[in-house]
Amino acid sequence: MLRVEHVTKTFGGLTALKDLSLAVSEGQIKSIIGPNGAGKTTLFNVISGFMAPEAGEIRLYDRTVTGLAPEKVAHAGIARTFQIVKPFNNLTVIENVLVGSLAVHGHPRVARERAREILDFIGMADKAEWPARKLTLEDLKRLELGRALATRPRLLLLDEVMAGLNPAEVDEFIELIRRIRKHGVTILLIEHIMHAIMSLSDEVLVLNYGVRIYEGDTRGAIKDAGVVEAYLGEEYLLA
Amino acid sequence: MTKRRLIPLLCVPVAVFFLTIPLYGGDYLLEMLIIAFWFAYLGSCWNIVGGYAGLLSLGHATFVGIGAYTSTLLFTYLGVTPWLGMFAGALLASLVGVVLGYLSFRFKVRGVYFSLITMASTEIVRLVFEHVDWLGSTIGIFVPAVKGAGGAALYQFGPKWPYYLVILAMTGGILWVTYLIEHSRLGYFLKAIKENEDAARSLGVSAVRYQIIAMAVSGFFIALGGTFYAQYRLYIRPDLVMGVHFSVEIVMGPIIGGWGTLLGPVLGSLVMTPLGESTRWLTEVIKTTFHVQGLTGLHMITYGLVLVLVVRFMPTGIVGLYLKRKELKREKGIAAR
Amino acid sequence: MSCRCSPAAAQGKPMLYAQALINGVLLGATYGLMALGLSLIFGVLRIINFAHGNFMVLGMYASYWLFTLLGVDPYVSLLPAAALLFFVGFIVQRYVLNPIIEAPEEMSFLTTLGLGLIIQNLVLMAFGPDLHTIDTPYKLASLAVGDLNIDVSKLLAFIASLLITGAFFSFLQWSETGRAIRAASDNREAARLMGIDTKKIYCVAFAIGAATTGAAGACFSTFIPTSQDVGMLFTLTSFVIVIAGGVGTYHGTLIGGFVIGIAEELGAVMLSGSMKQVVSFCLLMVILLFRPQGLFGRESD
Repeated sequence: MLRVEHVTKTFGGLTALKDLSLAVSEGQIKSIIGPNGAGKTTLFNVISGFMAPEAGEIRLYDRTVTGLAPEKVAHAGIARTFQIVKPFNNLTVIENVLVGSLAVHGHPRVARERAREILDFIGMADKAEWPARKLTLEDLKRLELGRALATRPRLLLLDEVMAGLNPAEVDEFIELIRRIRKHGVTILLIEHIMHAIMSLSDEVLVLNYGVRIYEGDTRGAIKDAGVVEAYLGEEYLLA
Repeated sequence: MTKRRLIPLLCVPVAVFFLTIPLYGGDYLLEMLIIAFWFAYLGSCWNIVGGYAGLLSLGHATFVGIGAYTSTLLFTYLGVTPWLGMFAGALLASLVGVVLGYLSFRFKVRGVYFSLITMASTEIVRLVFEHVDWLGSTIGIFVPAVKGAGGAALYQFGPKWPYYLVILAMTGGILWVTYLIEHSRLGYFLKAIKENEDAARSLGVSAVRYQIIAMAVSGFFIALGGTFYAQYRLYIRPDLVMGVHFSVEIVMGPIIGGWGTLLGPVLGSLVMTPLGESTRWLTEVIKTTFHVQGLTGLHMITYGLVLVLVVRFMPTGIVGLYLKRKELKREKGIAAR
Repeated sequence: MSCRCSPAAAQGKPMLYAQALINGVLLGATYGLMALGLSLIFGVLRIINFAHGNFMVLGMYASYWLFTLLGVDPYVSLLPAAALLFFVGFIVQRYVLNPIIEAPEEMSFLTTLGLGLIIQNLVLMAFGPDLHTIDTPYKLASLAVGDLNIDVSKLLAFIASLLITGAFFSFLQWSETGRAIRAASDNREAARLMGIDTKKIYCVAFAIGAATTGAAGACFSTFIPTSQDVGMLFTLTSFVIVIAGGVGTYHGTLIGGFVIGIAEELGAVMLSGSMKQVVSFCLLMVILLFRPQGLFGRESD
């Protein structure tokens, strides 16, 4: 349902994404991995409209969304989280989610109900009235996820949503992401935590220096020579 | 949750108190309160853009001026009652706000640069008005006084108390409008944009659109305040209703009281105006008692001093301070459990 | 935005423009000096100094009083004026601005706005609202170059401003404090880690910014009447110059000074004297909208 076609993104002299193409199928959970600086977040920025590519197209269900402003991309059905969380600090938890649901639901009461449903779904209903700045990192990440979900996306881009979480929290998130997929949301996620990638992904895309070096299932990724070379020295790939 | 019930209930005696002042207060008191509530009104209108949207506009005087001049010109040249003329002024101001907003936000002019643009624009407008003869130029325009009973229909009253009631009503009105906005889509979106624009946009909220709406609404209402001034003083002049100095005066109330809060601008003005007036009075007293001439400007120094001190020690204003204390108490309560 | 234009006299029109050009260039050097202070303050401290024009005014008054009371020529009183403003700037930064240096920029903006109000009205209280002019012996003298006049006062201001600007650049380039200032403006954290006492550097930087402005004020005092209410105007003009030239580049600021000086003088001829600020302000708006980095600034700002 998402097609990234021959996308190139440069910053001055640096090419962050080079003629990159990929496809995501409906209902899939696809992971994007690669060393730091490989261009993963840049890819998300381009897909979500925060950056416009120098070349290439991005299509969502055959609708071209290349170069659209972020708010328009959101309305087209793509939601995202940020690598460094961006909560609305001076709003409460439920108000944070409310902003998301108000963007798609005209009626404030409907939006509020929907926000409550989301809070139940992500397990933060008891903290609804807390100001966002009082939350722990895990809760902030959960909130960011919930907020994105409130916009009823078809495709959810998760940028290192589990970074900085302890193993127990990671497991909770893995469960949460599985439940999101069960609700019919397609998920594209950037992660470094191999355990999560292995448990969740239907497919994996490995990026290095803006170029795709592998796209396929997770087992194959570990064995692929190019991938191992990109991660040379990283212990966890030698499992 | 009885505290939540308490506040709306407190409104009633407060409102009654202010409403009945004309019965026992003298003209001097009324004059001061009219000015205080006028600035409270202006500050509250500004608050929509400055406080809720977080855009520090120092050019809101332009809208006040447009309101004042439009209704006055329509009245002076075409005999249109200012009660209608003020809406023409408000619509025009709103339009100017949209244009200014569109130019600024579309071109991503933010933060202090936005303040600079607003300052430049209000100075340009002031200078142009000072230059054009049929707009009164530096001499200004006198609103033709209406004698006799027809005054009220033409937004003119003999005594002060009707003006006082009008500005009270306007202040109440803008507080109600602000309250509505706070709990509406517009309010939540503005707060979100102010907190984190990228996050807001990623959720589908167009920063440009809602900021422009804030400018339009704010400009519309503040222009009505311009007409009020014109009808109260029966005289307008570019430097009185336009320009950076006046814009700064508008902003004082919200900053001291707490910008981005509902009651902040009103509280701030109710504190500032008496302060300004007492310094002015003090200057007069010292002048006559000690025959010391050069104390004009003391009240502006007071304003400047207050501004510096507030920013340094209570940047969230009076209301902000109160809210912070409330939150600290709540946390202590949670910790104690 | 439509400006009302008053028709210039049919004959001598090109002469008028040429004269305006010359005046603009002469003024431009002092404008540049004035704005240089702001550029330094914003570049190093990221403070939008709203009291900048008021520093100018203090310089003008210093020059006026030194002339009136002690007969000191304004171009000599440049130094005491600069010294006075250095002191004022240092105190302001030390006690008022350093404490809020970590706060968002709007806060320092409002603070300097308040400071500007205080300074302006202190001056008003101390010296009254009247305009003061300095009647130097050479006040009316001018050099004739063909049909054009070069005011001696303006020429001296031009030369003095260039000299001070040169001193300013040399200081930044070659002195140790100057290097520390440049380091602190490029990267605050790194400078601190290198052992530079950033708080003190901020005071020095702000003080120098104020001092150059005070000197510019002294220069202007010979041909612009000294009064307390031109503060805001000078402040806004300084902003136009810094932004037009490019925030963060001193060369840009200097060139911006000339550009604005010429633009204002031409504007005075084409529109009318009192409308010349409209030209600068329109220019400011256009630049902020379409090219916020100015002529030479870095894109990232």
